[in-house]
Amino acid sequence: MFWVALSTLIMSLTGEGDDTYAIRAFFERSRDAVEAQVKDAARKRAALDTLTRTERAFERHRERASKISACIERADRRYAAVAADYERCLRDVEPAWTVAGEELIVLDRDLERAVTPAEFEAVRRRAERH
Amino acid sequence: MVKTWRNPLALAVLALSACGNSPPPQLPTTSVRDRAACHVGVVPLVVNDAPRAERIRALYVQMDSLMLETKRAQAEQLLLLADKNATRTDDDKRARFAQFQAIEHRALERYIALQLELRRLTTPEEFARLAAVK
Repeated sequence: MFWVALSTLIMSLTGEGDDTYAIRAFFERSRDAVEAQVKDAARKRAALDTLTRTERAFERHRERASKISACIERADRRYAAVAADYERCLRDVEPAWTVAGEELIVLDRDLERAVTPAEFEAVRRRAERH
Repeated sequence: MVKTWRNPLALAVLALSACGNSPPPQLPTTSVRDRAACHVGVVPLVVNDAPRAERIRALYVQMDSLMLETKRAQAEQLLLLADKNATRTDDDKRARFAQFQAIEHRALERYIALQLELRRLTTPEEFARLAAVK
């Protein structure tokens, strides 16, 4: 596991600080790693494309999670808010994670397919170095 | 993998105070913890009745502890997700994601109960003053 674990890890354990920067830096490092480690032009293109799609999927999920957060915050600020107001906010929790999970699983697989096992390991090592 | 990210995460968290503003998109459990933690210290300033203030403060502490425990439980699922021996198939990965979201959902359900209890313990004026904190 590479993308699924790492992306989710960033998403869940940060948020109180500038994790947007950390995420961007991670993807930049990953792209640099692909540029450096994958010599074949077609494989390189496929790997970079997968990275771009992963970053977008990641962003979409964060935005979706952010809407749930905003909904809860609105309820938190209303004295008159009742359980039903909060429950409405939670409706998208399961669908949001299901979609994100499926996307990241597919992208994880795509990246492994795009490059050789040796390249994949080299990219992973470089991407995780900081 | 957790170790790899420990330093930037620590730096990111230190970069803003606990009550920092304009945060990036957050997970629901992260944002509610952020708000609850900010309220713990201000309750006695808003609620004059000491025994009631203590009960309200205890609610915020419970919210904070609940979300912290949730993060720990979710991190365990993510470590399993990263473990090739524990996550061999796509179904294993789906199960980890499902578990992750179930933990998030359960924590938010409990949080809602605490929020409703907060309304029972505060007056509308006190509630509004607390809500204005963050």
